[in-house]
Amino acid sequence: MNWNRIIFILLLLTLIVLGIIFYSPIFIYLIISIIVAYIFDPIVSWLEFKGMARWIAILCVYAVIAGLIAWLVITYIPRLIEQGNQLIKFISRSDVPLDQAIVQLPLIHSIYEFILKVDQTIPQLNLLPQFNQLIELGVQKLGELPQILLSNFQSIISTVALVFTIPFFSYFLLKDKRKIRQALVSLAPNKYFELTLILFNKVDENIGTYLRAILLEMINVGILSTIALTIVGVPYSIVIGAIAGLLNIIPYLGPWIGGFVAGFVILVSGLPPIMIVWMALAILIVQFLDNYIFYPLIVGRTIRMHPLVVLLTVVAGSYFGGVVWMLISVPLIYMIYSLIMALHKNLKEFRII
Amino acid sequence: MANCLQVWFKKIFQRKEVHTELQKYPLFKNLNSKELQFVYNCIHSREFKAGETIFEEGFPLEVIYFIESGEVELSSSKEPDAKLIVKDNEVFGLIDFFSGQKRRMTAKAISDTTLLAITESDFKELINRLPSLGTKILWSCCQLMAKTIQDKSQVYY
Repeated sequence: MNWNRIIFILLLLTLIVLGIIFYSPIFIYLIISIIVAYIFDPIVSWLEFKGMARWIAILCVYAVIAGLIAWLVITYIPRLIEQGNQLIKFISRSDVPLDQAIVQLPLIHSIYEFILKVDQTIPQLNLLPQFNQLIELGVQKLGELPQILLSNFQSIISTVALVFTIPFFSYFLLKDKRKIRQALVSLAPNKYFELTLILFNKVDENIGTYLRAILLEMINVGILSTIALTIVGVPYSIVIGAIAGLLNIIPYLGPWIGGFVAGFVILVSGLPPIMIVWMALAILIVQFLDNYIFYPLIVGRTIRMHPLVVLLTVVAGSYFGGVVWMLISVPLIYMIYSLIMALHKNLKEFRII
Repeated sequence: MANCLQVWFKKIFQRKEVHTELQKYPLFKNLNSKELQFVYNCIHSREFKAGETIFEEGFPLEVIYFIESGEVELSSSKEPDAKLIVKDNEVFGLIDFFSGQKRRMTAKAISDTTLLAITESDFKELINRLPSLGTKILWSCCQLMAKTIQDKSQVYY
């Protein structure tokens, strides 16, 4: 090892570090576009093998997705606006001040009465003023919301702009998938060539199957929950079903959070509390169907980890970085685990270790 | 005008005759240019120096190699005398691909060699996804092996 070589490697490392610093703000968008690319890849590849040029296939898939999103927006945005208007009208009623209007909400009102009762039975506690303070604080924050939106105008705009660049990233990732792979593999030295290919295939396969399985699972649980909640008669069943589907990604904890959301909606909308029992039963049935019938069918054997390990990983993820890490920690840990297993096996077989 | 447009459309939608250089390998000689494009998409090109080991006996099998240029020596510990030298446009690693997951021989580059590699999974995907291509390739494989059986000195493909 001579000095020139050492200097070259040092320079290269410096450049890599600088590059990481320079590109770090867009890493999250890159990761999202990689996820999008992985989800669409099987359809695009299928179309390609049917004789369509890859870029046309990608554009077709994009067109279909854009159509779906447009349809959803046209169908649901008017309703959302309507509900939002109702809420605004409710808040800005001039005859009662805002804090009192909030106290008159069914759920808050019942809590208010409960606290009042507690205060009457145990006079030393004095919970009521604190509760009123809490509501005042909430109202204050609500009033600050437009201010927050305005002062973060710049960052909101740039975020929106970046969100719209994700389809472009994904387009090139999808189109040049083979080229990207060839370029990455060509970096490996001859001795590790086949090993690199094996690991590459392993990671590729794992990420791909896992992401697609998650997506299917999400849609499945979302639809099932929507149907079940509609049958029970919970209001906004489509929205709650969608939320439940989304939360289902978090293993074990997700369905509970979805149930809490549904229960909260029932309380707020002033339905009889017995509805919560029916709702819980409906969600239980959905989870049962999902766990014992659909999950083995859709996901099959993508992930084999002990439930305790999965649960601990989710909890650790939530401590590490909140909801986002709760979502990605399990696939990440599983990927690292399977990569290390494959690496160990193949390094031995190639007599490198 | 219409004629002009027609020519223009043809120019856009006509596939160029590409990657015909792959037809020099016996496995791909019957493929048309569209199928060659698919094959080309999964090829990795590697360069080996003279004397460099490409793989050793007992290694797991991941790729089939096609020799673009150069010479490769194949040897096995079971038959130390029988060494085989494969040259341009020939393939090695193919029989292992059908018979098992381990390499039966050691491959070493004799001169500076350029190899094209296709992974097992890509190869299988091509055959499964494009049955017409698969039939042609498998037919060529059979021809190659029939030739190998007739000429018993070349047991190493």
